[in-house]
Amino acid sequence: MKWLFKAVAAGILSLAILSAFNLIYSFSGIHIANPSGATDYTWQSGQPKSNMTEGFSWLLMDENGFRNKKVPSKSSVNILMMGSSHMEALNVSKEEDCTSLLSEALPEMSVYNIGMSGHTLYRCVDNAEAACEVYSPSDFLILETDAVALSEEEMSLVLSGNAAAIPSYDSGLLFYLQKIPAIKWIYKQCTDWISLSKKVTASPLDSLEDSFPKETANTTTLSSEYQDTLSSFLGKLQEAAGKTGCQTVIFYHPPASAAPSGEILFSTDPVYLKAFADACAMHDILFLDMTEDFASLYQEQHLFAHGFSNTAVGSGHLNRYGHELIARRLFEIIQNVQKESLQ
Amino acid sequence: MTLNSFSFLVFFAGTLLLLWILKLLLQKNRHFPVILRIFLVIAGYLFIAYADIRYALCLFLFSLFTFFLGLLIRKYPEKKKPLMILGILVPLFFLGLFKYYNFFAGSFCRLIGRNYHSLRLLLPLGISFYTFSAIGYLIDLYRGKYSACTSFTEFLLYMGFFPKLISGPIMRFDDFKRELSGMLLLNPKDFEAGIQIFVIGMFKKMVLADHLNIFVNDVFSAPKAFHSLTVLWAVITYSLQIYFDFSGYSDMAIGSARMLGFHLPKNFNFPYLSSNLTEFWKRWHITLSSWLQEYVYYSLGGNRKGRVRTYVNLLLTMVIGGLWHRVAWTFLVWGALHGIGLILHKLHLKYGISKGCKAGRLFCMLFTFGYASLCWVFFRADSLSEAWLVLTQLFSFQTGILQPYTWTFFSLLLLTTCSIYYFIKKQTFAKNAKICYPVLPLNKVWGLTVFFLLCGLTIGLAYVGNTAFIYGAF
Repeated sequence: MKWLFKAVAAGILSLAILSAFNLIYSFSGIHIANPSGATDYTWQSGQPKSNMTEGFSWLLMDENGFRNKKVPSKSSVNILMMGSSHMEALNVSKEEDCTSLLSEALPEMSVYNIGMSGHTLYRCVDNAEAACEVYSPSDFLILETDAVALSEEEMSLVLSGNAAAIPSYDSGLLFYLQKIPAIKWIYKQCTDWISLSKKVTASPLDSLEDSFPKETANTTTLSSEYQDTLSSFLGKLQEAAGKTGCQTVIFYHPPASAAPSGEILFSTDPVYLKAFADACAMHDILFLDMTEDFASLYQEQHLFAHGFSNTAVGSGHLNRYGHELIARRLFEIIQNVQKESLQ
Repeated sequence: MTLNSFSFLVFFAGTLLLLWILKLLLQKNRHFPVILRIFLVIAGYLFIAYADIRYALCLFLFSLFTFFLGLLIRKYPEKKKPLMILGILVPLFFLGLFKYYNFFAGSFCRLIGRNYHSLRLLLPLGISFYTFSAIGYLIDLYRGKYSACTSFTEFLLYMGFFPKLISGPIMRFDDFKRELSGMLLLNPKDFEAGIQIFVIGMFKKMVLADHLNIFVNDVFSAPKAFHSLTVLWAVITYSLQIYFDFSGYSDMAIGSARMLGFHLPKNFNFPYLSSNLTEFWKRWHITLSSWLQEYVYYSLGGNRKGRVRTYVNLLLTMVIGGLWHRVAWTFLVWGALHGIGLILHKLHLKYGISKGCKAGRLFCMLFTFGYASLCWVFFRADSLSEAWLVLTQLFSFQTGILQPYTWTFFSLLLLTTCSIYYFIKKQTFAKNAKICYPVLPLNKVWGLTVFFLLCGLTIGLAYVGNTAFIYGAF
């Protein structure tokens, strides 16, 4: 019995030390449902974040729980950025993400980023209407995607309004357990260990990592049903953006790896890419494909746009080189659109 | 079921619980040792059958065959030589069939210019390890080191004791029997040490080796894409990975056996602190190198037949050791390079200046580490051409991707810290040949706190993708 008391005391003490360590090493925080619907959830206001598992960064979320240096008033947003954890950019320091770089390059415009982990293009399109209502972007709505080979089933769910939002645990035991960093950390690791899979979506305390869907290689043709669904899907997005009169931009950052020959290898299926680009053009959405920029970055400097010194080479989230390239290309596009509108 | 899987933890916890109940109920029964042996045999066979029931059948047939040959050697001592030869050839034939058939048939077909479609042969789990146990047992009987085992359950347990089944440590039968008879089932002292060794092993495997594996895979799959410095970093990383992987596995095997009350021999002893290759092989995979010395090197004549034969025997032993892992040209080269290294060290001892200062020893340690690391390139590469590609990329000062993989820094730092601690506490460890870790007192709050922290860090920092043990494939 005496030993049991000692074990409990040691357990509490070690949990406290592990939690302190976890705050520095890898702390994602507590996500709460977003009542506005602009995103499925946000992080708690002013949530501190740390990440040493993929890149190295420590930062604070803004008062709305998004990753921004400052919060503009809701009526003054010029550019609204939506996307997944790539846009949330928890892997790079606070000055190095695409939104910060774009804000710096466009001091006259107010750029607001509501990128959130797990918000793939399906979730962004589903939430676009609410996001535009809340933030009313006057000039641009920019979305990020790392996949152009979309699932017809997922798109149909979004179109029919039956797509499930990412759940949050705002109350009850799970909500309070999230407040002890070590418990969340170890719980997630254990669930991953048990299933031995890299991604566990069913985990209630999951930090909602994004999926990195692999493009299907070398599909020769796409069915007309797929193309119709894709067109309707992007049409829904354009309809949402159209209400505020802003220009929609989607940028695609393809995952890449090094081929045995030493060349860079993209897994993008050209048929899907063309279909996606065509569908964007049909709906007056500007489509930015980063493939060539990433290829040049690799050929000239041997750098990948994704990956960090503590992860597999070239895979995972966008790194500072990737963010910088994307910010530069977005800046060019914005300049061009503004010039055209002046003419 | 690998030792780092969640299913093993469930299996092992269940085994411990049942053993504890058995101990409570039957400890005073005079048949308790037999019941215990039968229970452990069943546990071992369940463990292996979980992977594939045919593996269990294969192990049983191997054990049965070796056991009866042992009895025949005991009954007909005048025929012990042919019986021993039979006992070596039959397991080697099956080992060759399962493991080496595709290599030889493929090489032969290539030689005569024919296409060869490799057969999908089942490679029974742990076959290389229990084949060596069986051969060692029969050679020992032939040499008259001990008499043949007469208890079938005891022999089944020797061959199928689950902590050492997949990848060793390889143990001699007489040592195993001695341990078994002196085994204090589930005693608190061994349990306390065992659980700590097990968790340290998990940390080495799941936190260090599995993270290092990611970088090594990247570089070895496309060496031409990487800068020479990155390739050098990957070669160092692989040296660390294979050490943490296999010594981690060995710790988990030793730890789980220790929790039961059984002492398995130490398999690693800071091999990268060796100042020459001879010392390296006394510190790396100790039970395999002892086995090779005892049953291959001495059988070939050892150093009793002149200097040239000694060198030839050394080379042959190391080549056999290489091919034991897998029959491939890369493993042959790996074994040969180690054989040549051992010969050069012997020549150096004979003709060279062997006295040195501390700086000299440090240089020798770095040189030995460098040589062993270059040899590991052949061990890791899928083919000789891939190994050659890695080596040319390494020495040709090519530009390419620069990736200062941080897990390698962390692993090196940890290994260096542990090595310094080992140097400081060398005398303490020298007294206890079976362990080279400090054992925390789990009856004190601070000891428990540090232990829980280690458990938490192991789970929290673990790479939770599916990464197999390197030696699980041999």
